[in-house]
Amino acid sequence: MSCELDLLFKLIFILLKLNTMSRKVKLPNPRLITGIVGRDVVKDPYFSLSRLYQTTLKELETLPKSYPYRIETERLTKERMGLLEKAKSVVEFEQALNARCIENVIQEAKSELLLIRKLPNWAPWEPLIGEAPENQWKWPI
Amino acid sequence: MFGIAKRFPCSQLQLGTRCIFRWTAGADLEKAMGPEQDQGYRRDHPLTYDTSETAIPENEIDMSVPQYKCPDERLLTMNFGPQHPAAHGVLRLMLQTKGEQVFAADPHIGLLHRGTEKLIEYKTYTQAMPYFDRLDYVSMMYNEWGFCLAVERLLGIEAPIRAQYIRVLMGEMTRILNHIMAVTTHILDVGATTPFLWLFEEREKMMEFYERVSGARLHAAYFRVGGVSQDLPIGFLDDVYDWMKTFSERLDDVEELVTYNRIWRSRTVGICPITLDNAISWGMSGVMIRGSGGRWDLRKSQPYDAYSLVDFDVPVGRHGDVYDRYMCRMEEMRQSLRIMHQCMNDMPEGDIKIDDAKISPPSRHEMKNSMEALIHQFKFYTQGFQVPPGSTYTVVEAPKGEFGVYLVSDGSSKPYRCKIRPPGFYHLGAMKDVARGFYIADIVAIIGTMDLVFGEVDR
Amino acid sequence: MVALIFLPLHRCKMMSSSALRCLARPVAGLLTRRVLAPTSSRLLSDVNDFYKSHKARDVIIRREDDVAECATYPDVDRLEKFGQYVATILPKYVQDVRMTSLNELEILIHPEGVVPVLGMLRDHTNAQFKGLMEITAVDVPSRPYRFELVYCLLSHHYNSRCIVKTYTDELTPVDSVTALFKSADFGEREVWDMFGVFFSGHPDLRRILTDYGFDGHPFRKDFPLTGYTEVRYDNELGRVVYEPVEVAQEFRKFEMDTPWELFPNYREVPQHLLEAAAEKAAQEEGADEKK
Repeated sequence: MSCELDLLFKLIFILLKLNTMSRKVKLPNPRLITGIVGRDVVKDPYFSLSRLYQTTLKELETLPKSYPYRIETERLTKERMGLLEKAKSVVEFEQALNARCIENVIQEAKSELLLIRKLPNWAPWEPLIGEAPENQWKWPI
Repeated sequence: MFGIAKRFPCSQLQLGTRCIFRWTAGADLEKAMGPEQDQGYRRDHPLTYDTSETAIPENEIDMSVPQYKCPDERLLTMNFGPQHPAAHGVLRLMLQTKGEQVFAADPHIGLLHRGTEKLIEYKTYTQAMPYFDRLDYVSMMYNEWGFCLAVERLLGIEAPIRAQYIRVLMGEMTRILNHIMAVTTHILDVGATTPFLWLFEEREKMMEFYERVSGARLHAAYFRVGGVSQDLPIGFLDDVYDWMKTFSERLDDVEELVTYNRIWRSRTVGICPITLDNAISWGMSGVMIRGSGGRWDLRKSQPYDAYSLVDFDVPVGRHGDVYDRYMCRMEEMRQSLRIMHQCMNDMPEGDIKIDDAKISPPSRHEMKNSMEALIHQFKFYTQGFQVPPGSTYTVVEAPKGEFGVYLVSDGSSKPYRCKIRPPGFYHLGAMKDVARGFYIADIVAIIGTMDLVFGEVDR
Repeated sequence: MVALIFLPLHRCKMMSSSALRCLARPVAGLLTRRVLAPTSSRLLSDVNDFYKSHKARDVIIRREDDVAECATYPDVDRLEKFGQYVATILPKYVQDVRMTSLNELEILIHPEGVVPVLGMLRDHTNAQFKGLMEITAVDVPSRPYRFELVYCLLSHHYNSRCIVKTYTDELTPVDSVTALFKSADFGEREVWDMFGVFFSGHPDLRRILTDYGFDGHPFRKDFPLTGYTEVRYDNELGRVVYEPVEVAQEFRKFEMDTPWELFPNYREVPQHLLEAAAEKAAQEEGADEKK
């Protein structure tokens, strides 16, 4: 009775394993913990990062074309996407970016995205709204 | 007496589970706590924290306690301090509790506010230096160091190499002093009296060293802009060595009592875990960040004086709770011993004050024999040296965290503005966020782990 | 007995010349033997065998190389380039970017730009100034906008600091940055208490360091050092009472400033000298071109 159950469990396990193998993870994360409190290990960093970078590039379209921030961020994002595609492992990607862990890179991308969404409200590319009064920054008085 | 609540451990103390206290009085707490209280942190009660309705009008209300929305109206507002043996000084912590669990914590500080920054504006730089001793009064020389570095930066000078080594030596001794105070009073608040007594004897020995070197046990006023005031006395390093040989055994004694003690672990493991992002956002620094896994130490990343010349390790925690910060502090003490040992071995000969006659006063012998020295002496002690106009934000890795001095000089001999950035101020600011959901006894542990000294919080 | 202090050679470059000269001199007195390393043992109590068997919840000690690179602090060129970059990405608010002689980056902004600038500095990948270390104000009463607000930021990722400065007066409120940096909570409360700068949007702006019911903002330059009121315990009333301050002697403010002009390089150059220097430079350029 118990050996039949074992065979049944083995069969299910093999089936599941086959199932998981078809969803191949592009960059498997070798870590169990990041070492940073509050930052959990992301199982599929390639998925998260690539989506974040693609969304970032799309949202950057809302900013003016000649805005240096947009140009720089596009360059940065494309560079990181390139590194992400070429990287054979998470560790390689992290070393290329000199990052402590890929979760930090994901957090950076998230912050950048949230910033881009705030920018159209602020419109910081416009010319200076007001000069400082005379001698405001003069020191010593 | 020291806040040990009556409790019964619910299961074997394994790494994953916590020891949960059940206060058997009243069905309210049972309802509030809920049935699933066996694992994990105790902050799983869904208390809402909605600050949109804090009704503080433009003309401020005094003695106001922010009213947070709570589903169950039975909140008890109570006063923790300012006179409380566990409040680490004068801290008035207004707690809103549901039973024993803290719903909101609001620190009222300023009871030790002495207007240090305003007083400094009326003193010359040398006269202002002793104010820094009295800020964080358990790590005296480190505060002085912060100020002296700021002024030296504005002046564009650097202390001679021997002075730098002496500063590092005394600074690390100060770090041990501070950590002994922090850790043992923390342990005392949680309930154990012995480590406090054992390690305070070591503190007495270190204060004797302070006295040998500067003349005062506590408020040394030893550092000067441009170096230190006097050279180390003969035989000082030998005695420090004799003390140092046995100090780590004292630490071992305390660790033997405390580190793997089930009571200590049940009181500190899992209490107040702070995520690294939260810690950085709250402006925390020092052990609070390192306990949460952040690899940040100003002695390594922005070294000053002779720190780039000494080898030492920096302990980094893994869980961000009170226990990890305690472990970090214990290990930092051992690393401080290592630094002190290297300083003593590598101590070069040389000046202990910068040679510039406009910044350091002449020696008594010179002053009595040379006219220029006499004039310099007179001008130095009456008017003080003039610092070029400018502003700087200079930081040091004080034992409590990042101690910063924002110094604005207008070219005269008195600072125009000297703002002191105390680490404890920002640690305490996080109290209302990190203390929610814990018990009042845990508040005691949290105050201890934040390493609060009100001399610097209030200034 | 002649003894020498052995200094590791790779550190010699950091030593001043006076120390190197000392290597040759015989040293008597202080250290005539090398001190031995103190033991750093960690005792595990035999009683708690239960804990020994578990993976220790110990603290990880990182070696030097793991901790952030410190060899090049501060990286002045990188900071300068970053300052120029900030000026281009926030032209609406940034009035000036300065690199002080002490190698500190100062970004001077319009007061309406506090939230955008600090938000950009916090969230942008090239900046990541996630730590607001300090909020201060400097009171310069002679200016129309007397308070100079100073925000000191720290980027752990790039190991850099920068200072953002803006200005305001007693009545103009400034946007609060508590939504961006939680440390602004206490920082802005202190600036409000000490200077009277109102931060709109702060969740809980009330006094923090002064007494309950204190009137005035103490760190302003027109607030006297001794204050206006003092306290004493009144036996009849049985409580502490507030009374106008009475000092036994006048405040001894000695006029110590020298009559000589100090730090002439920091003063403004007179106009005629500037013009003369410009003419001279133009003449020299003309001479170079001819060559």
